[in-house]
Amino acid sequence: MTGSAVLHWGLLAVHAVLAVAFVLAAARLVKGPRAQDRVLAFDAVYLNAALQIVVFGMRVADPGYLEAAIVMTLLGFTSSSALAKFLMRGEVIE
Amino acid sequence: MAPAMPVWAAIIIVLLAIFGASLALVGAFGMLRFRSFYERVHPATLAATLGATSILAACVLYFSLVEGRLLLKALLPMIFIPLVNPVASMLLARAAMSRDYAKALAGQPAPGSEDAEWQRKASELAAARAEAARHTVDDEPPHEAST
Repeated sequence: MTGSAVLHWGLLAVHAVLAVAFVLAAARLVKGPRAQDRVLAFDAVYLNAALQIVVFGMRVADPGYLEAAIVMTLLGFTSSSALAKFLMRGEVIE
Repeated sequence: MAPAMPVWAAIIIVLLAIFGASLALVGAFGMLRFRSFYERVHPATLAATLGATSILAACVLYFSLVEGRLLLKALLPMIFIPLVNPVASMLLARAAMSRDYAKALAGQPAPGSEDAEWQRKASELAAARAEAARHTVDDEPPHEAST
C-alpha cells in the first residue's frame, strides 16, 4: 500500500466522519427547542463545513481551499456573535 | 488523486485528521444528546478547539511535504478557530442566561423548556433580588442591574 493510497482512503474516511457530525449538528438545528440551541447548532454546522473544505483541499492537493475555509470561519464567527447580540438585546446595531 | 508521499507521513496525517474528525463527531453527538442548553454549549467547543487544531495540523504537515518547504498557511485558521469559536459560544451562553433570567423575573418560564433546574435557580435569584430591592433606602438611587 503506497502513501498515496493511504492518504486517499484515509481522507475519504475523514470526509465520511465529518459528514455524520454535520448531519447530527443539523438535526439539532432543526430540532432545537429554542433560538439559542439553533444558533449553537448553526455554529457547529459551519465549523464542520469549513473542516470538510480543508480536508477536500488536502485531497486535491490545492492549498487555495484553505483561504475559503478561513473566510468561512470569519463569516461564521461574525454571524454567530451578531445572533448572540440579537438574542441578548433584541437588535444588532443600537 | 493524492500525490506520492512516504507511507509514515501519510499514516501520521491520516491519524491526525481522523482524530480531529472523530472529535467533531463526538461533539455533534453530545450536542444532540444533552438535555439542557447549558450542557450543550460544552460539547460544541470540542470540535472547535482540539478537533480543528488537529485537522489543521495534519494540513500543515501535508502541504509542507507536498510543496517541499514549510507552508504555514494552515497555521492561520489553526490559531484563529480555537481562539474565536469559544468566544462566540461564551457570548451565546451569556445571551441565553440573560434571556432565561428575564423570563424568570417576569415569572413566566419558557413553554416546553427543558431547563427546569436553571428556571428554578433563576426564579430564586429573581426573588432574592426583589427582596433586596424592597430593603433599599429610599434616598439612594435604585441600583440598576445591567440587562
